[in-house]
Amino acid sequence: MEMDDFSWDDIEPCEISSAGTSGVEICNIQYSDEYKLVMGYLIKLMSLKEYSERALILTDQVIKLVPAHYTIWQYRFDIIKFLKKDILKELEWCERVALENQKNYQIWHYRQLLIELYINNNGKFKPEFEYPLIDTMIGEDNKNYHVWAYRKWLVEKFNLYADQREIFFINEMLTKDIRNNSAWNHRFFIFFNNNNKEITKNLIKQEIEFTKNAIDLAPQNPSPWNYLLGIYENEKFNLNLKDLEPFLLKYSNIEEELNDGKIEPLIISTFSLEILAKIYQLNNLSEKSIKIYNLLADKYDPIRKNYWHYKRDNLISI
Amino acid sequence: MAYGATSGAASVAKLDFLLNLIGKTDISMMERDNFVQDNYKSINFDTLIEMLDKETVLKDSLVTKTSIDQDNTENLVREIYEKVLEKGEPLPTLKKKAHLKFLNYVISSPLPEGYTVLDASHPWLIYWCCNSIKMLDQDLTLETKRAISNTVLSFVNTETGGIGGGLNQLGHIAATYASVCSLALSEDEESWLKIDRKSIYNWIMNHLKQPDGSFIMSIGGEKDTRAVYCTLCVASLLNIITPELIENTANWLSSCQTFEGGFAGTPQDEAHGGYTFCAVASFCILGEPSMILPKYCNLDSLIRWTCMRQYQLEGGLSGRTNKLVDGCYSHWVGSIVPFLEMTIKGVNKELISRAALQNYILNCCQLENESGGLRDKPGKSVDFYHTNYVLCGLSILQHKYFFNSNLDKGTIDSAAYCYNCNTINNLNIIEIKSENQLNSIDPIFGLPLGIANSMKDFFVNLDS
Ligand SMILES: [Zn+2]
Repeated sequence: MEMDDFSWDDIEPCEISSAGTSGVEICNIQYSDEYKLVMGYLIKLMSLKEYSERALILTDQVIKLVPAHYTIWQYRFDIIKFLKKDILKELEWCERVALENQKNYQIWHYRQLLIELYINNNGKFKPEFEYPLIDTMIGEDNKNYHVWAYRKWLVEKFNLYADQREIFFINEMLTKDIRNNSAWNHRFFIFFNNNNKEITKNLIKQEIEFTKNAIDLAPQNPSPWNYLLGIYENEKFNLNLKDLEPFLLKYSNIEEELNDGKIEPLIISTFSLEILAKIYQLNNLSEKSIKIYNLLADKYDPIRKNYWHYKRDNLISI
Repeated sequence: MAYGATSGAASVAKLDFLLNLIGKTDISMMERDNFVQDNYKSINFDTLIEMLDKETVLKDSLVTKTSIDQDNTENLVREIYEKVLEKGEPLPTLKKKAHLKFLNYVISSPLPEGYTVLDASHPWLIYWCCNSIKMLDQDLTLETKRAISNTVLSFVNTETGGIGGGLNQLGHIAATYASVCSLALSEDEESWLKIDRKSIYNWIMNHLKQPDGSFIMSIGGEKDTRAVYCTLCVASLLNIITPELIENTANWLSSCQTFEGGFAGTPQDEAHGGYTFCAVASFCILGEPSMILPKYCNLDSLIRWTCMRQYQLEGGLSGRTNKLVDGCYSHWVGSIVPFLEMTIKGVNKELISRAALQNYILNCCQLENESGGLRDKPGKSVDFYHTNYVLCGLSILQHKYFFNSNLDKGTIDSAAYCYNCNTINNLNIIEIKSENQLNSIDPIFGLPLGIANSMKDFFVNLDS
């Protein structure tokens, strides 16, 4: 349906200008005649609090032109609510808008509002409905912040933490790109969220193993290292960082380097060096930690020279 | 100064790298010394060589989408840096005139139809452009100041409260933040009196404030750390901040810190530069950095995450783990750094490489030709958002900030107004060139330093 399918004779559109009307203004946008007309009617209808099909058509036009127009999104939502429109149909409309414009982040909040409304109207919403869209959107941009945040919201809303689909999806994403930090973050959320009262020793062990294997694929990939530290430094899990030492030495054969040995040391991960420095500190071997921080600062990670010196100097001042 | 290639073994290696790059491998010691004298003077130059020289120290061979994107960016950046090194000193400088031309256009003429996509972002456009102009040390004309206040005040929504992104729009806290900042920039006290502060307060308390301590953007809008930051800035500048308004807010922000150390938009999302700045600056409206950050954050992981954002070859900052550098994070991430440096013990502590970031900004965020405006990265076009935030980042890295408790105003948000700074005057940290210098900005509000204080003082006096 289009604007022409409705009668507009009963209303006079507002005169539209982008900034003030005093003649002394800044950032005045030269709207097209079409935009002026559509917005002129919309503003008028909003001021009359008219919630109608013809208003709905206008919101569609503006949203496609100006995706960030939150006032019009809100108006559209009020119309849907007032006219008791089919919410599932509206979700489909929303899906089309999303696919047309990947950068349109307003749609995710709008979907939340629609789904909440559906539930409040005693509808039984099936979260599966959302997966095709989410999958497509993440397929196009595998780190799209708003889509991942939306997926998190969906899991929370419908208690999908233990749903096999989540871990399957995460694994698929990580198989495609083991450096996808958004997928790692979602993994942490699924397993170690605050609602999970059953974080078993087995789960922790399984995740540590998974992460170690991921590190082995690309030892300089920061994502699994952050994940590993996230587990080890969580006080609730009661783990000992020192247990990681043999694993770390695989990526930083530091002994040769520290002893100025003749053998060429094998250093393939700054992150393993970093954690080794922490472990040596825990073992009261500060001298060794200081040497590692100096190595990071001068040789292996010089862009962070200041940071490594800060870590080193902290040790000295203790 | 003791910079020279001859000052240490590392520098000799760097010099070799450079000579190799420009095809001068076989030269005498004297030629070599002359070359050093002519070309090798500044910390920025020295840093640039190191950025390139050490770029491949550790690199995994596994290829994925992330590594391909990263390699593509590195190739673009490397090409620019190698050209710069070949040309030698002086390094490219900030094209202030061109940037001003680009900005002045927006505030002096009507905008073409293409700007309609920003129809819900009028106050942002005004803030980005006027703020950038002030950083570049141009004063706003009386006419512009009038136009700012007239325009912004016309966006007030008298029906439901707040200030909208344009005429006839719903109140929105981000638009309100940009509007209040614009009004502060207008320095038009008469217009400040026209802000209905009571209705903004009621709007915040009755519609935006959530029981968990957070805020939503607008009626029916989303809630995130950005909304918290914008609300606290607005409430503080207008002097309508109350204990009720900030109740539970610090605790909610605290729940947004992730296992990585940065902050997310809402709890358990991914750590992100923009949201981390919003969280850290919000905390620092509520208290002195060295007191409040250790109380509500895991400081070690926050510092680590922030420092990890800087990349070896580019020198620029990224917004998330395994994402690309982007000029706007020079502000979102770069402006977290002063708060962290004021928190850690010891004076003159430095956390990131200011010289490397300055190199990225001057060489990669400006266009290759003489046009103005700043951008995300090579290959992207310029826009006003990036122009403002790249300049904010550049300004922040040129200054060292201090918390001066003597400035305490005795209000609950007094910590927000206690910042002073000096231009960094240390050639070991960053090269000082007047062409590149920007006016200092307020680390909390993102306004020229002093402007937020003036507005606050105005309302404090009015209310006392
Ligand atoms: Zn950007």
